[in-house]
Amino acid sequence: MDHPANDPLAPGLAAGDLRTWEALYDRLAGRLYRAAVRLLNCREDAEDAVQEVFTTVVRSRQRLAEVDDLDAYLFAALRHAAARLAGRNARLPAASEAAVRKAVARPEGPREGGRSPELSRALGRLPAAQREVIALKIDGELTFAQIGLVMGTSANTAASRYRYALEKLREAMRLEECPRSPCDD
Amino acid sequence: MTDPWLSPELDEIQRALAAGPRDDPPSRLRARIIGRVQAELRGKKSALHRYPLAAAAALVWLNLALSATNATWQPLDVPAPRAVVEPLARQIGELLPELSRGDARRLAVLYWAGSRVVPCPDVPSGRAPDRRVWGEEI
Repeated sequence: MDHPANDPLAPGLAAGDLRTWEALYDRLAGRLYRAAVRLLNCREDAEDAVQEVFTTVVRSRQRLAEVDDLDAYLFAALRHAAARLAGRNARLPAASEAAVRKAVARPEGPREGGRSPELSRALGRLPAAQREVIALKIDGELTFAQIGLVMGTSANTAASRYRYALEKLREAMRLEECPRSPCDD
Repeated sequence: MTDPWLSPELDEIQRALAAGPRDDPPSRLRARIIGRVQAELRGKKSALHRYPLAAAAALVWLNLALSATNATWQPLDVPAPRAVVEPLARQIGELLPELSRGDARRLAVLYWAGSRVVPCPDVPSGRAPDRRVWGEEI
């Protein structure tokens, strides 16, 4: 998961070598796609977001030689692409509570095979910033240092946000299990 | 994925989040994106990028053409008689006060020229048709 500074692919990418670009796709596309599905709640939009990431990065490939963390760089591009697509489609997950509920109910969301329905619903109700950190950590498989780079915060802040998101999920699941009477009593 | 800094309960939620089948990108996406990357590497630009460039070029050309037309002085072959044009320009200026003096004079010259044009049929007489204005050769 961790890639050192000055990624070994960077020189080939900057030089415009197609095979290196294919290697980059094979390394990152799955993680980018899964995170995009989580952020956008739509597989077609996720495909567009991943394509936009590669198109944007290949156009500015000369800068790649200066990039310390290629994975974080591409996920930062994904974050911007997802925000643009969400804005374009007026489907921003955090835009409104109604949009969040609609997104949760959508059949097109990520496949929740091993997850309980309560967890899936709770995840859908999280605010966008917390869902974003979950997407980057769980679906993007990034470290907190990389998440910090993507979100423009420190690694500690990223870790705190993640833990807070997990706590919110736990609370939401508790409420769902016992909606009327507190279980702790 | 187990993190020692998470409580067992939160760690369980984290593992539940990571569990289950994962969404993999469809295979067609690879061909689509690699094709796009290849096109970018070859320097091909999409129609979406060509269109604004063409539109910008057309606008620049139009702007230059209008500027050149406005800045070009086109003297008439036949000097317009001041005695006719000046009062006419004054009348036009009174009717259309928003016109500049130069524009009013230009319109007056055009009106004067138009009033003196006589339709001249192209008679196949073997010589070039005359262009006359009320008997005056122009």
